[in-house]
Amino acid sequence: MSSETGRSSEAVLDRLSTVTGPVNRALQPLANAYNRLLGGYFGEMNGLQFVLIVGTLVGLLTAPLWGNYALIQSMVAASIWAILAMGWDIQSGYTGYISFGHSVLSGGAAYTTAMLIHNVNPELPLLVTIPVSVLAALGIGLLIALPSLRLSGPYFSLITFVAVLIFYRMMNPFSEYTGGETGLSGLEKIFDVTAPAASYYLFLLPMLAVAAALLIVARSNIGLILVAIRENESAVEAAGINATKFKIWSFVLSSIPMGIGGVLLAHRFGNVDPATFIVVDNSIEMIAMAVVGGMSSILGPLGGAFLIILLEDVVLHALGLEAELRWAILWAIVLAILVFARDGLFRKLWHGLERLGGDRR
Amino acid sequence: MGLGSERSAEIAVDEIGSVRDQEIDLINENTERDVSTTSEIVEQFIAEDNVDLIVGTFSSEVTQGITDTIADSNVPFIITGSADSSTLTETTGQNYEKYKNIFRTGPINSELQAEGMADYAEFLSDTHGWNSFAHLAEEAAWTKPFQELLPGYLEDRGLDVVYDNTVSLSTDNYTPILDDIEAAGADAVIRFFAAGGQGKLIGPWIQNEYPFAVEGTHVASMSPEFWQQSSGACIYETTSQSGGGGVGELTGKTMDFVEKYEEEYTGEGQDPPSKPMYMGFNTYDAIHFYSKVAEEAGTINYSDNLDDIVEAMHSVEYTGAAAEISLYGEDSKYPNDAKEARTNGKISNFPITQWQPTENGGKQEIVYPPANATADHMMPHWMS
Repeated sequence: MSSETGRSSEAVLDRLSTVTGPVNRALQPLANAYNRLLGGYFGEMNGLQFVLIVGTLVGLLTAPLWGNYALIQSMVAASIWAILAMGWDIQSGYTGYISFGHSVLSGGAAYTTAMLIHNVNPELPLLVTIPVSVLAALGIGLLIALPSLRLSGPYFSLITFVAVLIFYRMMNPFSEYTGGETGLSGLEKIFDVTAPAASYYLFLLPMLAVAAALLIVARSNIGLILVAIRENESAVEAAGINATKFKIWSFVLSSIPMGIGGVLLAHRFGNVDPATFIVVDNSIEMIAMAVVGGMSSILGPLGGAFLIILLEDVVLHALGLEAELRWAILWAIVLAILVFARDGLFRKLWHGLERLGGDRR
Repeated sequence: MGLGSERSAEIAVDEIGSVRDQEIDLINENTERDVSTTSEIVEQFIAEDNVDLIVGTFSSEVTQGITDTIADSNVPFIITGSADSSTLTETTGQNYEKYKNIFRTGPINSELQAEGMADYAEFLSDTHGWNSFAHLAEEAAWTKPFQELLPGYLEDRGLDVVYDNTVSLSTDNYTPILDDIEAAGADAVIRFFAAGGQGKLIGPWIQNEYPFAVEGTHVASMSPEFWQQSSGACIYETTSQSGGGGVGELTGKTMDFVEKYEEEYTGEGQDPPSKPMYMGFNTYDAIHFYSKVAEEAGTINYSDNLDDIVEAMHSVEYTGAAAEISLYGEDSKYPNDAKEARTNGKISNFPITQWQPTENGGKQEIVYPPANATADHMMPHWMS
């Protein structure tokens, strides 16, 4: 069924392209200017795609001008989750080694920040705690990656899954340091309640920087090898490339944004607790965002994060649905996307725009 | 629990109408027991809705997660759900100037509750001759003071603690625990369950007729609907709860409030709870209390006159539906926290209810303190 609907929708797109093609051609000079300057780093686009990207960027950057308080709050959350979803994507999406344990990396960074403040020195500046926490995420990432990446398929996923369970269960026995069930509070809160617009950029700009950096990496030779590992790992080995080394690299690449996202989340509310930071649900939510947007595309997970959070926080919330029901509906949507648009909504949108643009020149 | 609190707030606001010539506007939001959700709600309260007072929050995790944000804003916050003592001792107790806008009008904090529970155990000992007690707490912030203090308090009263354990929230099978308590020879287990436990302990307890009573605090059992929910398995189970379940007069105002609630919210097509539950009592009282504070202070402008408001919070004494309310001052052990009431040295604003059999079902009765009791405490029939 899906291939048939796929064909008919392609036919519709082709017919539409007689209208959109000229629009695309009119916009093409702008896109070409971009393609010449930056296309080599981030990929080339046609006119329509260029307008989508620039329009989205302008929308994100001007959100405080047109959005209300609740929307800005949601977009702050979406920015953080976009970092986490992209961080997951560069490892799991690209290599095909699906991790269920990435909340340990972000949670580990967040807890490092909180524990430094609580157990070491409450006066430690962000300039110290942030890099140390990101390094901690890297350390935890390597700790999981080194023994597990020699395994393949479900064994790898299982190990990452178990890592979350272990980490979560350690919170209570070590409650003297971790704060147990209630976690630790009293961190510097970088979201200023009375100045949401200014605070918003503290989350949006790091998110855009992470997106740009990951896009460059993903389009480099490293990204190519990671995708090759997903497609045919033995062929990569046969070509004389040490696949395990690159899988570990993917974990390193992934740990850094996970650390940044975790630290931002800790400073968003000024406290850390196991239910917000560690639970395996968080890892699954990252995966859902990446899948909805389109795995192994970086920008797909970014879009997926915004889509899911805005749907949950703004759209479904406005309908007055309870949290449990909102998430049940969201998971049903994720399921539908997995069945009917396995490559993700934003990849579909991207390819759709390519077709709508008519012939590439 | 949340709905009972929301409805109680509505009743209080209807009764008061306006404060200092300003009509009260009530905004209800659901914390969903999630720290980040609640933080976002509180930010909107402060920055968008410009609220004059924040009341509520059930779970200690959520309460502790939002105290910093609220402290920075100076908006008065009255806690009416979570009882964890550290919520105030680690805020107002450590840095009064920063956190002075955070209060609790009830329930009494969990350290005081631990003492009240020990007094209750002494009462059980006097009534039934029980001298051996087991202590079982779920792993959560609010039970920590019980874990730390209760065994010692019991021993101070000449009672034996023959079993002492903490269980994970995810424990499903309580049979081995019940076996151990029986083997230890306890006359009663004093257990503290809010999120976990639910009916998982009383099911096997009642089926196997374990030879000890189930006492303590069990949030699920506070619900007036718990008899139906547990198919009567809660028989003989007790729980402490502010407001005493709304089954008996505590202060002279209790039943008026309960009747008003039942008139409005009980009957065909109404969702449970059919009584306000403990947070409902505390929320209702907190809103009334604050209206008195506003009169006393002559202001609700917290940005300019917070000190006047704090002073009035400390000086106002008010008879609520659940208890006589007055707060501890800045220099006490529990700054801004609800004071306990005492009769003959024993904490008396700590009512305990028990599910007792009726002809065709069961109902909650207040069994402690004796001054408020609507029925005698019953020991399980298989123990007599």
